[in-house]
Amino acid sequence: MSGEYILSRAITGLMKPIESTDSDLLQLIVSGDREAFAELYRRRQSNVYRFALHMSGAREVAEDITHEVFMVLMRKAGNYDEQRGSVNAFLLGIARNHLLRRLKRERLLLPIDEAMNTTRPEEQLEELSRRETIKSVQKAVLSLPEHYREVVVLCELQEMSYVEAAAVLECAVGTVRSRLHRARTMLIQRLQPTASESLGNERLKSARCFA
Amino acid sequence: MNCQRFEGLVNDVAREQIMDAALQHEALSHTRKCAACAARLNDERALTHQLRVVASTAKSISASEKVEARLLAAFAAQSLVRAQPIRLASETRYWLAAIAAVLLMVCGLFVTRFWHVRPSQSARIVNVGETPATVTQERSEAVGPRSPSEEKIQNRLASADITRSIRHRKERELLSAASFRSPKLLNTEITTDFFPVTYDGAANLDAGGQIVRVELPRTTMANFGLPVNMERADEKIKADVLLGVDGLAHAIRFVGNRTSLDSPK
Repeated sequence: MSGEYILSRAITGLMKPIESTDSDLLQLIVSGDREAFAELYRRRQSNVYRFALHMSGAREVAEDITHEVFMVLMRKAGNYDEQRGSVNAFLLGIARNHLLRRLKRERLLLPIDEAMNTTRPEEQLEELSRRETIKSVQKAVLSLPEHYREVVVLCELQEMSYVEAAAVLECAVGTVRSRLHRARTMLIQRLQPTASESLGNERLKSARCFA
Repeated sequence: MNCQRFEGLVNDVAREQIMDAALQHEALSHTRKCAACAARLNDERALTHQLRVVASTAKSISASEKVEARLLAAFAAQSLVRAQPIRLASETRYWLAAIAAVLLMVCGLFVTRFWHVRPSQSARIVNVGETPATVTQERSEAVGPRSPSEEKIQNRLASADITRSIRHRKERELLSAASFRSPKLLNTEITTDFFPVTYDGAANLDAGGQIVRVELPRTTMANFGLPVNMERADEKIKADVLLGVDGLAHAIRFVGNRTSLDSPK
Protein backbone atom coordinates (compact mmCIF):
# COMPACT_ATOMS: atom_id res chain seq x y z
CA MET A 1 0.00 0.00 0.00
CA SER A 2 1.55 3.27 -1.02
CA GLY A 3 2.16 6.08 1.44
CA GLU A 4 0.03 8.48 -0.62
CA TYR A 5 -2.97 6.16 -0.44
CA ILE A 6 -2.67 5.83 3.31
CA LEU A 7 -2.43 9.63 3.61
CA SER A 8 -5.46 10.21 1.41
CA ARG A 9 -7.46 7.68 3.44
CA ALA A 10 -6.46 9.39 6.64
CA ILE A 11 -7.50 12.80 5.28
CA THR A 12 -10.81 11.40 4.07
CA GLY A 13 -11.34 9.93 7.52
CA LEU A 14 -10.61 13.28 9.13
CA MET A 15 -12.97 15.09 6.79
CA LYS A 16 -15.89 12.88 7.70
CA PRO A 17 -18.35 14.75 9.87
CA ILE A 18 -17.95 13.58 13.43
CA GLU A 19 -21.30 12.64 14.92
CA SER A 20 -22.01 14.47 18.14
CA THR A 21 -22.60 12.33 21.20
CA ASP A 22 -25.81 12.60 23.16
CA SER A 23 -23.94 14.48 25.90
CA ASP A 24 -22.65 17.03 23.38
CA LEU A 25 -26.15 17.55 22.09
CA LEU A 26 -27.41 18.06 25.62
CA GLN A 27 -24.80 20.75 26.19
CA LEU A 28 -25.98 22.49 23.04
CA ILE A 29 -29.60 22.18 24.13
CA VAL A 30 -28.76 23.92 27.40
CA SER A 31 -27.37 26.82 25.40
CA GLY A 32 -30.61 26.93 23.35
CA ASP A 33 -29.57 25.13 20.16
CA ARG A 34 -32.76 24.12 18.37
CA GLU A 35 -30.99 21.84 15.90
CA ALA A 36 -29.33 19.91 18.67
CA PHE A 37 -32.70 19.38 20.29
CA ALA A 38 -34.20 18.15 17.04
CA GLU A 39 -31.25 15.83 16.49
CA LEU A 40 -31.46 14.30 19.96
CA TYR A 41 -35.21 13.94 19.61
CA ARG A 42 -34.87 12.05 16.32
CA ARG A 43 -32.19 9.87 17.80
CA ARG A 44 -33.96 8.93 21.04
CA GLN A 45 -37.68 9.44 20.63
CA SER A 46 -38.44 5.91 19.40
CA ASN A 47 -36.85 4.38 22.52
CA VAL A 48 -38.95 6.56 24.76
CA TYR A 49 -42.06 6.02 22.69
CA ARG A 50 -41.70 2.24 22.58
CA PHE A 51 -41.02 2.03 26.28
CA ALA A 52 -44.15 4.08 27.02
CA LEU A 53 -46.18 2.05 24.53
CA HIS A 54 -45.12 -1.32 25.95
CA MET A 55 -45.71 -0.11 29.48
CA SER A 56 -49.10 1.50 28.87
CA GLY A 57 -50.41 -0.37 25.87
CA ALA A 58 -51.90 2.82 24.45
CA ARG A 59 -50.55 4.92 21.63
CA GLU A 60 -52.01 8.17 22.97
CA VAL A 61 -50.38 7.66 26.31
CA ALA A 62 -47.08 6.82 24.64
CA GLU A 63 -47.21 10.03 22.60
CA ASP A 64 -48.09 12.09 25.63
CA ILE A 65 -45.26 10.58 27.61
CA THR A 66 -42.79 11.16 24.76
CA HIS A 67 -43.90 14.76 24.59
CA GLU A 68 -43.57 15.21 28.34
CA VAL A 69 -40.13 13.62 28.46
CA PHE A 70 -38.71 15.95 25.85
CA MET A 71 -40.42 18.93 27.45
CA VAL A 72 -38.65 18.03 30.68
CA LEU A 73 -35.41 17.67 28.75
CA MET A 74 -35.93 21.13 27.29
CA ARG A 75 -36.22 22.68 30.74
CA LYS A 76 -33.83 20.49 32.72
CA ALA A 77 -31.18 19.36 30.28
CA GLY A 78 -28.63 20.78 32.71
CA ASN A 79 -29.68 18.21 35.33
CA TYR A 80 -28.14 15.36 33.38
CA ASP A 81 -25.20 13.75 35.14
CA GLU A 82 -22.97 11.65 32.92
CA GLN A 83 -21.71 9.70 35.93
CA ARG A 84 -25.16 8.28 36.61
CA GLY A 85 -25.81 6.76 33.19
CA SER A 86 -26.32 7.36 29.50
CA VAL A 87 -28.62 10.01 28.04
CA ASN A 88 -30.89 7.18 26.91
CA ALA A 89 -31.15 5.94 30.48
CA PHE A 90 -31.77 9.51 31.64
CA LEU A 91 -34.64 9.91 29.18
CA LEU A 92 -36.14 6.52 29.97
CA GLY A 93 -35.90 7.34 33.67
CA ILE A 94 -37.94 10.49 33.12
CA ALA A 95 -40.39 8.51 30.99
CA ARG A 96 -40.73 5.88 33.69
CA ASN A 97 -41.47 8.45 36.38
CA HIS A 98 -44.12 10.16 34.27
CA LEU A 99 -45.59 6.86 33.20
CA LEU A 100 -45.86 5.39 36.68
CA ARG A 101 -47.49 8.58 37.91
CA ARG A 102 -49.96 8.44 35.07
CA LEU A 103 -50.66 4.73 35.45
CA LYS A 104 -51.29 5.26 39.13
CA ARG A 105 -53.63 8.12 38.37
CA GLU A 106 -55.56 6.53 35.56
CA ARG A 107 -55.04 2.85 36.30
CA LEU A 108 -54.28 2.32 32.65
CA LEU A 109 -54.08 -1.23 31.53
CA LEU A 110 -55.55 -0.97 28.11
CA PRO A 111 -55.03 -3.65 25.51
CA ILE A 112 -52.33 -2.63 23.13
CA ASP A 113 -53.78 -0.91 20.09
CA GLU A 114 -52.94 -1.35 16.47
CA ALA A 115 -49.82 0.74 16.78
CA MET A 116 -47.57 -2.22 16.04
CA ASN A 117 -49.54 -3.43 13.07
CA THR A 118 -47.19 -2.39 10.31
CA THR A 119 -48.15 -5.13 7.85
CA ARG A 120 -50.27 -4.53 4.79
CA PRO A 121 -53.74 -6.24 4.55
CA GLU A 122 -52.58 -8.78 1.97
CA GLU A 123 -49.83 -9.94 4.28
CA GLN A 124 -52.13 -10.28 7.23
CA LEU A 125 -53.11 -13.88 6.54
CA GLU A 126 -49.50 -15.02 6.51
CA GLU A 127 -48.80 -13.03 9.58
CA LEU A 128 -51.86 -14.21 11.45
CA SER A 129 -50.11 -16.70 13.66
CA ARG A 130 -47.23 -14.31 14.26
CA ARG A 131 -49.60 -11.52 15.15
CA GLU A 132 -51.51 -13.80 17.49
CA THR A 133 -48.27 -14.58 19.24
CA ILE A 134 -47.36 -10.91 19.43
CA LYS A 135 -50.77 -10.01 20.81
CA SER A 136 -50.67 -12.67 23.46
CA VAL A 137 -47.17 -11.68 24.52
CA GLN A 138 -48.12 -8.02 24.67
CA LYS A 139 -51.18 -8.92 26.70
CA ALA A 140 -49.12 -11.03 29.05
CA VAL A 141 -46.54 -8.25 29.47
CA LEU A 142 -49.26 -5.71 30.20
CA SER A 143 -50.74 -8.01 32.81
CA LEU A 144 -47.52 -8.04 34.83
CA PRO A 145 -47.15 -5.83 37.89
CA GLU A 146 -45.40 -2.56 37.01
CA HIS A 147 -42.04 -3.35 38.57
CA TYR A 148 -41.85 -6.65 36.67
CA ARG A 149 -43.25 -5.16 33.50
CA GLU A 150 -40.62 -2.46 33.33
CA VAL A 151 -37.69 -4.90 33.51
CA VAL A 152 -39.22 -7.03 30.78
CA VAL A 153 -39.76 -3.99 28.59
CA LEU A 154 -36.27 -2.65 29.16
CA CYS A 155 -34.28 -5.88 29.04
CA GLU A 156 -36.31 -7.88 26.55
CA LEU A 157 -38.23 -5.47 24.35
CA GLN A 158 -35.76 -2.59 24.43
CA GLU A 159 -32.81 -5.00 24.51
CA MET A 160 -30.96 -3.10 27.18
CA SER A 161 -28.28 -4.62 29.36
CA TYR A 162 -28.84 -5.25 33.06
CA VAL A 163 -26.54 -2.32 33.88
CA GLU A 164 -28.44 0.11 31.64
CA ALA A 165 -31.78 -1.09 32.98
CA ALA A 166 -30.49 -0.65 36.52
CA ALA A 167 -29.53 2.94 35.67
CA VAL A 168 -33.03 3.64 34.35
CA LEU A 169 -34.75 2.00 37.29
CA GLU A 170 -32.27 3.43 39.79
CA CYS A 171 -31.74 0.09 41.47
CA ALA A 172 -29.03 -2.55 41.77
CA VAL A 173 -28.13 -4.84 38.88
CA GLY A 174 -28.97 -7.82 41.08
CA THR A 175 -32.47 -6.44 41.58
CA VAL A 176 -32.92 -6.21 37.81
CA ARG A 177 -31.76 -9.80 37.40
CA SER A 178 -34.03 -11.20 40.06
CA ARG A 179 -37.04 -9.18 38.87
CA LEU A 180 -36.46 -10.31 35.30
CA HIS A 181 -36.21 -13.91 36.39
CA ARG A 182 -39.47 -13.66 38.28
CA ALA A 183 -41.16 -11.75 35.46
CA ARG A 184 -40.14 -14.33 32.88
CA THR A 185 -41.47 -17.13 35.04
CA MET A 186 -44.77 -15.28 35.32
CA LEU A 187 -44.86 -14.70 31.58
CA ILE A 188 -44.27 -18.38 30.85
CA GLN A 189 -47.14 -19.26 33.17
CA ARG A 190 -49.46 -16.75 31.51
CA LEU A 191 -48.50 -17.75 27.98
CA GLN A 192 -48.99 -21.46 28.59
CA PRO A 193 -52.07 -22.85 26.76
CA THR A 194 -54.86 -23.47 29.25
CA ALA A 195 -54.81 -27.22 28.63
CA SER A 196 -51.16 -27.57 29.45
CA GLU A 197 -51.21 -25.01 32.23
CA SER A 198 -51.14 -27.62 34.94
CA LEU A 199 -48.26 -29.36 33.22
CA GLY A 200 -46.34 -26.10 33.06
CA ASN A 201 -46.92 -25.52 36.73
CA GLU A 202 -45.71 -29.03 37.46
CA ARG A 203 -42.57 -28.28 35.49
CA LEU A 204 -41.93 -25.10 37.45
CA LYS A 205 -42.56 -26.87 40.71
CA SER A 206 -40.17 -29.63 39.81
CA ALA A 207 -37.59 -27.07 38.85
CA ARG A 208 -37.74 -25.76 42.37
CA CYS A 209 -37.38 -29.17 43.99
CA PHE A 210 -33.62 -29.21 43.65
CA ALA A 211 -33.65 -32.54 41.85
CA MET B 1 -24.78 -28.78 38.78
CA ASN B 2 -28.11 -29.22 40.56
CA CYS B 3 -31.54 -27.84 39.57
CA GLN B 4 -31.29 -24.87 41.96
CA ARG B 5 -28.03 -23.76 40.39
CA PHE B 6 -29.54 -24.32 36.94
CA GLU B 7 -32.57 -22.18 37.86
CA GLY B 8 -30.23 -19.30 38.57
CA LEU B 9 -28.62 -19.63 35.15
CA VAL B 10 -31.56 -20.57 32.97
CA ASN B 11 -32.39 -16.98 32.01
CA ASP B 12 -28.91 -16.20 30.84
CA VAL B 13 -28.67 -19.48 28.92
CA ALA B 14 -32.05 -18.96 27.26
CA ARG B 15 -31.33 -15.34 26.45
CA GLU B 16 -27.89 -16.25 25.10
CA GLN B 17 -26.23 -13.75 27.37
CA ILE B 18 -22.47 -13.56 27.51
CA MET B 19 -21.39 -15.94 30.23
CA ASP B 20 -18.61 -18.25 31.24
CA ALA B 21 -18.38 -20.96 28.56
CA ALA B 22 -17.64 -23.68 31.11
CA LEU B 23 -20.69 -22.69 33.15
CA GLN B 24 -22.88 -22.68 30.07
CA HIS B 25 -21.63 -26.11 29.09
CA GLU B 26 -22.31 -27.39 32.60
CA ALA B 27 -25.87 -26.01 32.49
CA LEU B 28 -26.58 -27.62 29.12
CA SER B 29 -25.17 -30.90 30.37
CA HIS B 30 -27.57 -30.75 33.29
CA THR B 31 -30.56 -30.42 30.93
CA ARG B 32 -29.52 -33.66 29.27
CA LYS B 33 -29.78 -35.43 32.62
CA CYS B 34 -32.83 -33.59 34.07
CA ALA B 35 -36.04 -33.58 32.03
CA ALA B 36 -37.69 -30.89 34.18
CA CYS B 37 -34.80 -28.50 33.68
CA ALA B 38 -34.73 -29.32 29.95
CA ALA B 39 -38.43 -28.42 29.72
CA ARG B 40 -37.78 -25.28 31.72
CA LEU B 41 -35.02 -24.28 29.33
CA ASN B 42 -37.34 -24.93 26.38
CA ASP B 43 -40.02 -22.73 27.89
CA GLU B 44 -37.50 -20.01 28.51
CA ARG B 45 -36.17 -20.24 24.98
CA ALA B 46 -39.67 -20.08 23.56
CA LEU B 47 -40.40 -17.02 25.62
CA THR B 48 -37.17 -15.40 24.49
CA HIS B 49 -38.13 -16.05 20.92
CA GLN B 50 -41.61 -14.60 21.39
CA LEU B 51 -40.27 -11.51 23.12
CA ARG B 52 -37.74 -10.97 20.34
CA VAL B 53 -40.49 -11.17 17.77
CA VAL B 54 -42.39 -8.48 19.64
CA ALA B 55 -39.23 -6.41 20.01
CA SER B 56 -38.38 -6.66 16.32
CA THR B 57 -41.94 -5.74 15.33
CA ALA B 58 -41.87 -2.72 17.60
CA LYS B 59 -38.44 -1.57 16.45
CA SER B 60 -39.80 0.43 13.55
CA ILE B 61 -42.48 2.26 15.45
CA SER B 62 -41.99 5.77 16.69
CA ALA B 63 -43.94 8.77 17.82
CA SER B 64 -45.93 10.66 15.23
CA GLU B 65 -44.53 13.74 13.53
CA LYS B 66 -47.06 15.88 15.35
CA VAL B 67 -45.16 15.30 18.57
CA GLU B 68 -41.93 16.50 17.00
CA ALA B 69 -43.63 19.57 15.55
CA ARG B 70 -45.19 20.43 18.90
CA LEU B 71 -41.88 19.99 20.70
CA LEU B 72 -39.93 22.11 18.26
CA ALA B 73 -42.53 24.84 18.53
CA ALA B 74 -42.31 24.63 22.31
CA PHE B 75 -38.53 24.82 22.12
CA ALA B 76 -38.70 27.96 19.98
CA ALA B 77 -41.22 29.52 22.37
CA GLN B 78 -39.04 28.64 25.34
CA SER B 79 -36.03 30.26 23.70
CA LEU B 80 -38.08 33.43 23.30
CA VAL B 81 -39.19 33.32 26.91
CA ARG B 82 -35.58 32.75 27.95
CA ALA B 83 -34.54 35.85 26.06
CA GLN B 84 -37.38 38.03 27.36
CA PRO B 85 -36.66 38.05 31.10
CA ILE B 86 -33.45 40.04 30.57
CA ARG B 87 -35.42 42.81 28.87
CA LEU B 88 -38.17 42.64 31.46
CA ALA B 89 -35.64 42.76 34.25
CA SER B 90 -34.03 45.90 32.85
CA GLU B 91 -37.45 47.53 32.37
CA THR B 92 -38.49 46.63 35.89
CA ARG B 93 -35.23 48.03 37.23
CA TYR B 94 -35.83 51.28 35.32
CA TRP B 95 -39.34 51.71 36.71
CA LEU B 96 -38.23 50.86 40.23
CA ALA B 97 -35.51 53.50 39.99
CA ALA B 98 -38.04 56.05 38.74
CA ILE B 99 -40.47 55.29 41.57
CA ALA B 100 -37.65 55.47 44.12
CA ALA B 101 -36.59 58.86 42.74
CA VAL B 102 -40.13 60.24 42.97
CA LEU B 103 -40.49 58.96 46.53
CA LEU B 104 -37.19 60.56 47.51
CA MET B 105 -38.31 63.88 46.06
CA VAL B 106 -41.61 63.76 47.93
CA CYS B 107 -39.86 62.87 51.19
CA GLY B 108 -37.34 65.67 50.64
CA LEU B 109 -40.12 68.21 50.12
CA PHE B 110 -41.93 67.01 53.21
CA VAL B 111 -38.83 67.30 55.40
CA THR B 112 -37.95 70.73 54.03
CA ARG B 113 -41.45 72.02 54.65
CA PHE B 114 -41.50 70.56 58.14
CA TRP B 115 -38.26 72.35 59.10
CA HIS B 116 -39.51 75.62 57.67
CA VAL B 117 -42.68 75.52 59.72
CA ARG B 118 -41.14 74.61 63.08
CA PRO B 119 -39.17 77.82 63.95
CA SER B 120 -42.16 80.17 63.54
CA GLN B 121 -44.24 77.87 65.68
CA SER B 122 -41.69 77.90 68.50
CA ALA B 123 -41.41 81.66 68.23
CA ARG B 124 -45.12 81.99 68.72
CA ILE B 125 -45.19 79.89 71.83
CA VAL B 126 -43.18 82.61 73.64
CA ASN B 127 -46.29 84.79 73.61
CA VAL B 128 -48.25 83.62 76.59
CA GLY B 129 -51.90 83.08 76.03
CA GLU B 130 -51.82 83.37 72.27
CA THR B 131 -53.85 80.49 71.06
CA PRO B 132 -52.12 78.01 68.78
CA ALA B 133 -55.21 78.08 66.68
CA THR B 134 -54.33 81.61 65.59
CA VAL B 135 -50.83 80.49 64.82
CA THR B 136 -52.23 77.68 62.74
CA GLN B 137 -54.61 80.08 61.09
CA GLU B 138 -51.81 82.44 60.19
CA ARG B 139 -49.78 79.55 58.90
CA SER B 140 -52.64 78.36 56.78
CA GLU B 141 -53.14 81.88 55.43
CA ALA B 142 -49.48 82.06 54.47
CA VAL B 143 -49.68 78.83 52.54
CA GLY B 144 -52.80 79.79 50.62
CA PRO B 145 -55.93 77.91 49.61
CA ARG B 146 -55.90 74.19 50.35
CA SER B 147 -57.69 71.09 49.27
CA PRO B 148 -60.06 69.36 51.75
CA SER B 149 -57.53 66.65 52.44
CA GLU B 150 -54.86 69.24 53.22
CA GLU B 151 -57.29 71.03 55.52
CA LYS B 152 -57.89 67.81 57.38
CA ILE B 153 -54.16 67.41 57.86
CA GLN B 154 -53.87 71.03 58.99
CA ASN B 155 -56.73 70.62 61.49
CA ARG B 156 -55.00 67.59 62.89
CA LEU B 157 -51.75 69.57 63.15
CA ALA B 158 -53.59 72.45 64.82
CA SER B 159 -55.13 70.19 67.44
CA ALA B 160 -51.65 68.73 68.04
CA ASP B 161 -50.32 72.30 68.47
CA ILE B 162 -53.04 73.13 70.98
CA THR B 163 -52.28 70.02 72.97
CA ARG B 164 -48.58 70.86 72.90
CA SER B 165 -49.26 74.48 74.00
CA ILE B 166 -51.44 73.41 76.93
CA ARG B 167 -48.84 70.90 77.96
CA HIS B 168 -46.11 73.58 77.87
CA ARG B 169 -48.24 75.98 79.93
CA LYS B 170 -48.94 73.33 82.54
CA GLU B 171 -45.26 72.57 82.69
CA ARG B 172 -44.47 76.22 83.22
CA GLU B 173 -47.04 76.55 85.97
CA LEU B 174 -45.76 73.47 87.68
CA LEU B 175 -42.26 74.84 87.37
CA SER B 176 -43.23 78.12 88.99
CA ALA B 177 -45.08 76.29 91.75
CA ALA B 178 -42.15 74.05 92.29
CA SER B 179 -39.81 77.01 92.41
CA PHE B 180 -40.96 77.63 96.00
CA ARG B 181 -40.07 74.09 97.01
CA SER B 182 -37.11 73.13 94.93
CA PRO B 183 -33.87 73.56 96.91
CA LYS B 184 -32.10 74.41 93.69
CA LEU B 185 -34.50 77.18 92.90
CA LEU B 186 -34.48 78.47 96.47
CA ASN B 187 -31.01 79.74 95.80
CA THR B 188 -32.23 81.81 92.89
CA GLU B 189 -35.61 83.55 92.91
CA ILE B 190 -38.84 83.59 94.83
CA THR B 191 -41.95 85.48 93.85
CA THR B 192 -45.09 86.77 95.47
CA ASP B 193 -48.52 86.16 94.05
CA PHE B 194 -49.76 88.44 91.33
CA PHE B 195 -51.39 91.63 92.68
CA PRO B 196 -53.95 93.23 90.43
CA VAL B 197 -53.08 96.80 89.46
CA THR B 198 -56.45 97.65 87.93
CA TYR B 199 -60.00 97.24 89.15
CA ASP B 200 -60.82 94.79 86.38
CA GLY B 201 -60.29 91.87 88.67
CA ALA B 202 -57.62 89.28 89.13
CA ALA B 203 -55.08 88.85 86.44
CA ASN B 204 -55.61 85.83 84.27
CA LEU B 205 -52.83 84.39 82.19
CA ASP B 206 -55.27 82.46 80.11
CA ALA B 207 -56.72 85.72 78.82
CA GLY B 208 -53.43 86.30 77.04
CA GLY B 209 -50.67 88.86 77.41
CA GLN B 210 -47.01 88.98 78.27
CA ILE B 211 -44.93 89.03 81.41
CA VAL B 212 -42.30 91.74 81.49
CA ARG B 213 -39.51 91.78 84.05
CA VAL B 214 -38.93 95.30 85.50
CA GLU B 215 -37.07 96.88 88.42
CA LEU B 216 -38.95 99.15 90.82
CA PRO B 217 -38.13 101.08 93.98
CA ARG B 218 -38.55 98.81 96.99
CA THR B 219 -41.07 101.25 98.43
CA THR B 220 -43.52 100.26 95.69
CA MET B 221 -44.15 97.11 97.69
CA ALA B 222 -45.86 99.20 100.34
CA ASN B 223 -48.53 100.22 97.80
CA PHE B 224 -49.60 96.55 97.67
CA GLY B 225 -49.64 96.17 101.45
CA LEU B 226 -46.32 94.39 101.69
CA PRO B 227 -43.88 95.18 104.46
CA VAL B 228 -40.77 97.14 103.45
CA ASN B 229 -37.38 96.94 105.13
CA MET B 230 -36.58 100.57 105.55
CA GLU B 231 -32.85 99.91 105.77
CA ARG B 232 -32.96 98.81 102.16
CA ALA B 233 -35.63 101.24 101.01
CA ASP B 234 -33.33 102.89 98.51
CA GLU B 235 -32.59 99.61 96.81
CA LYS B 236 -34.42 98.33 93.74
CA ILE B 237 -36.54 95.19 93.59
CA LYS B 238 -37.37 93.04 90.60
CA ALA B 239 -40.98 92.61 89.59
CA ASP B 240 -42.90 90.83 86.87
CA VAL B 241 -45.58 92.95 85.26
CA LEU B 242 -48.36 91.14 83.47
CA LEU B 243 -49.30 93.13 80.37
CA GLY B 244 -52.64 92.33 78.88
CA VAL B 245 -53.47 92.01 75.21
CA ASP B 246 -54.58 95.65 75.38
CA GLY B 247 -51.01 96.63 76.31
CA LEU B 248 -51.95 97.73 79.85
CA ALA B 249 -50.44 96.40 83.06
CA HIS B 250 -52.94 94.13 84.74
CA ALA B 251 -50.97 92.61 87.57
CA ILE B 252 -47.64 92.65 89.27
CA ARG B 253 -45.59 90.31 91.40
CA PHE B 254 -42.37 90.93 93.22
CA VAL B 255 -39.30 88.80 92.75
CA GLY B 256 -36.71 88.39 95.43
CA ASN B 257 -33.50 86.50 95.87
CA ARG B 258 -33.77 83.57 98.25
CA THR B 259 -30.14 83.71 99.24
CA SER B 260 -30.41 87.26 100.40
CA LEU B 261 -34.00 87.34 101.52
CA ASP B 262 -36.46 85.07 103.11
CA SER B 263 -39.16 87.05 101.46
CA PRO B 264 -39.10 89.62 98.71
CA LYS B 265 -38.89 92.54 100.98
